Amino acid sequence: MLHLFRRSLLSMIGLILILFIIFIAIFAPYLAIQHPTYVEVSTEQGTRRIEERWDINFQDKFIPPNSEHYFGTDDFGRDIYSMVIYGTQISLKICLMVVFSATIIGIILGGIAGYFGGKIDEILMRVTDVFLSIPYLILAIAVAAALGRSIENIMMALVLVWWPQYARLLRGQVLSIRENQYVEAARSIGANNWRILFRHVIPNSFAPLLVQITLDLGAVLLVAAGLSFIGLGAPPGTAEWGLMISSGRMHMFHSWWYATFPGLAIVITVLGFNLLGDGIRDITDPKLRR
Amino acid sequence: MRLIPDPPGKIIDGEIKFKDEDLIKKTDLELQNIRGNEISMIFQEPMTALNPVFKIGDQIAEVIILHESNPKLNNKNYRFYNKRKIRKKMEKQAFEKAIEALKMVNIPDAEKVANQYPHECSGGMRQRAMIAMMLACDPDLLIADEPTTALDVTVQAQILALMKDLQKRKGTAIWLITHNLGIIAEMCDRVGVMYAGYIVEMGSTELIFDNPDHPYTRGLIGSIPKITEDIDELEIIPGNVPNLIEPPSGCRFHPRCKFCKQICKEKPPELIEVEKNHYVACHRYKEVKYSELVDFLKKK
Amino acid sequence: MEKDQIIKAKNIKEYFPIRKGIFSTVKEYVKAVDNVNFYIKKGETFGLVGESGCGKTTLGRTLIQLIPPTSGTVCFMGKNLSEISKSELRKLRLHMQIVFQDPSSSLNPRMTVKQIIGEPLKINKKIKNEEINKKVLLLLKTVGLDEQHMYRFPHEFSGGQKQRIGVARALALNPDFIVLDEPTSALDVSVQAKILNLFKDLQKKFNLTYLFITHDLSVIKYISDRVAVMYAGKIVELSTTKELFKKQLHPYSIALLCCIPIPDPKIKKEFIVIKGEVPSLINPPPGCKFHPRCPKRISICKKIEPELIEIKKEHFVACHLYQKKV
Ligand SMILES: Nc1ncnc2c1ncn2[C@@H]1O[C@H](COP(=O)(O)OP(=O)(O)OP(=O)(O)O)[C@@H](O)[C@H]1O
Ligand code: SF4
Ligand code: SF4
Ligand SMILES: [Mg+2]
Repeated sequence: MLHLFRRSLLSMIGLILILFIIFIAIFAPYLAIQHPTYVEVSTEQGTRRIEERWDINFQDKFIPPNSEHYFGTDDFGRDIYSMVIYGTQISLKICLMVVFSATIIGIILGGIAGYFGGKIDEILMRVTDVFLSIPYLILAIAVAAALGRSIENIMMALVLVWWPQYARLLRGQVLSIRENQYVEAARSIGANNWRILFRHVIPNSFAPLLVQITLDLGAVLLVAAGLSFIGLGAPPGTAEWGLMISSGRMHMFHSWWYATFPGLAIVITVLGFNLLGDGIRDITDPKLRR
Repeated sequence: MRLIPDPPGKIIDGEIKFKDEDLIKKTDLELQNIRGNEISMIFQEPMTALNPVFKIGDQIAEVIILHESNPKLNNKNYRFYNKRKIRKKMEKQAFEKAIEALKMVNIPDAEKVANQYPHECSGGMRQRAMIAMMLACDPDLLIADEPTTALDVTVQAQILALMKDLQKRKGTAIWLITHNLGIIAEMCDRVGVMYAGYIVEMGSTELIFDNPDHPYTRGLIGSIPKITEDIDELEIIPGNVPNLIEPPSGCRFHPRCKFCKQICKEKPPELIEVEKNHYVACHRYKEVKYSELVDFLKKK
Repeated sequence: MEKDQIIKAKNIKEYFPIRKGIFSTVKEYVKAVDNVNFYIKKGETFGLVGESGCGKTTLGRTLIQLIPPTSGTVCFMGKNLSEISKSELRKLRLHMQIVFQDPSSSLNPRMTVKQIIGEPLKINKKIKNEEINKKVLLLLKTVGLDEQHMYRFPHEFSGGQKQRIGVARALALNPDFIVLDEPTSALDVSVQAKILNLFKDLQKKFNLTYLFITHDLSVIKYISDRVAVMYAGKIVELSTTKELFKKQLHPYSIALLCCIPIPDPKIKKEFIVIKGEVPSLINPPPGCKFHPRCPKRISICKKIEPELIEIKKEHFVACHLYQKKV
């Protein structure tokens, strides 16, 4: 596998970037200087949830990057470097969870629709049509606004808007894979529909989804950051990159570092996922191989 | 292939690409002229060889125009090609020639078929259209690479009969590449048998089928079921076709050959003339021949 | 008589609907198999020949209930498959297996050989992993492969080896009846010979009954005891192999046999070239389906479809030329 990556410098860079980001996310508590505390708060809906809090220290506000605060501090005197580091955890959590859940839902529904066909297919595909006909950003905004501000809620909103395209993609694959003779062979040795679907059809339909998934990891990150930016995502006080840019943009002219470093973090992560996705596409598509 | 110059009107069989030293020395432009004008090729899968978005008649017409107006070959037609009126006229003429070519390959309603797209035609039709396209340039040598593999037996018979007939009328040499020994026996005058990149035996069709001297040819002929005979068990050649990346040393057939001796592993045999019109590449063809005789006597 | 018939098809029809238009209304049908009657005796090899697209595969799939027939009945080992209960059908179906035409598409590329051959055992027999291993190894040896092939994936095998794996999978459940759907047409002649010999050996060893589907008459001649010739969804001639190759009666069979190039240069015959091509199964010609191409056509052929009748003992023909004589 790895030797295939080596063929393309760009996908190699993507792989390295992503490994680097994952490393940061895992070792955030050791890399950061300041650390958040977690408190339990009650929401408007009456449920309780954990929120992140950072110590406020007004004396230290707007310190430009120096050897103590590598990325400077913000309007509450919090260390931007530490917040960017912890933001990695949040961002990765959002993209991985969203894409993973959307994939599972998409695979199951798309697989069922494609394999069984007929009425089930008709109904499921009309549902995905409805979802796909609404611009996903608008749908996500509506859902996030209705659910209230929290990381969990934007994840839910994103899963809701993201699964239909996987269902679509997988259904198309399943339609061609199920025509293979090994499917019929499995039927003639007494395998039931579920076994055929999950053992023979889905594993062979999955490959094209893999590319989409990697590319989508970056896209989900962007949308999540966007939602936070317009005030629908992470609750105030969280070290979320979108949210940090949102508050930083007001101080752009006197403290450039505030919005710049979270922005760079987003750029690097999204770039990494996209390069990786392109690389995987080249590897899995034999026609593009040279 | 340089060993024996091909007199026109002969059919030769092989299983790999045509390679002639003289051709290799030629420039691309000259080659382009030779291709189509002197050598044409029919492919195995007629669907992929025809362009699906053009009408069959137009495709044949295009080939005709290209070969009538090849640039830099002192062809005066080319100079006028860019003038619209003349081009229109030429295209019309070429289209008519295309219809004629289609008629020549026994396509009923040639006018109609010329205006159809490849996917609207059946496999036999498409293969005939391909042949028509090749014949439009009146080649001296027609290379047919498994021309009937994708077709049904009855349609295959139609195509083979057509090729035979055209050969008789035009004196075209046909080089037929196939793995169907029946077609070879039916169609060919001379045969070359290839194994792992080498011609191992070559000669007139009768000699090869009656009196094969190379162990591979013998195995091959023994391994096909025949409708003219009753057999209880087919002969088999043990082992598999070697990969050509790391071919066996010496004679490439030696791991599967029952006559194999030390020399076979070391030295690749050369193609030698064992009798008139019969070439074999085997160190031990005499022993093979002898064992044949013994088999024959045993049967008696 | 009835007793030694392992499988019997009665008036089998298999129509595939073609949906068209916005409302997906069924306008036409592909009549892939149209009113076919025959039986196969225990322990014999029954050949089925015909041109591409004439419905051979569909007939095979219908027989072993991979697709239910549109109408008609199949009796297997004396039981009418459309009358018995679902669980009984499921059990009976395991006694019928199929080997496919295309060895690469009939093996799941993401499963090892062991998984592929072990799957039927795992699903149907509650046996332990070690026993599965043992059985898979035994099956591999039966079809001429060995232990080192157990953990490889299908793409690591040649076409002939893949076909052997397919055969091993079909044998895993000790079937009585196997449909061989052009098992050698994707293979080289020298490999074909090996696989054909394997089929013969296995038949002797396990007392198998075959339905051998092919378009290659010389293979049929070599392997089968009785043959049916199919044309456009119908059986046009059915007889013992010897008889059919000696004296074909139906004009299509005659043409078919004439069209086969014989690998013997001394027999130089003229092909009897029949004009035209295989008709579409959506709008087949009325009357005898062969009549647009038939050199011996008589006036009645255009209107009335000939029935398959026994002309001599064990020799059935569907052609008006012979109908009158009876
Ligand atoms: N599921 C299906 N839906 C619609 N049409 C079908 C279906 N399966 C087969 N057919 C049609 O039925 C006809 C017979 O097909 P079948 O596969 O039985 O032919 P065959 O005799 O096995 O041909 P070949 O020699 O090429 O394998 C064909 O015209 C095919 O297009
Ligand atoms: S040279 Fe030797 S190994 Fe090769 S075919 Fe002849 S006898 Fe066999
Ligand atoms: S019924 Fe008529 S058309 Fe059909 S095969 Fe016989 S003679 Fe020919
Ligand atoms: Mg078939």
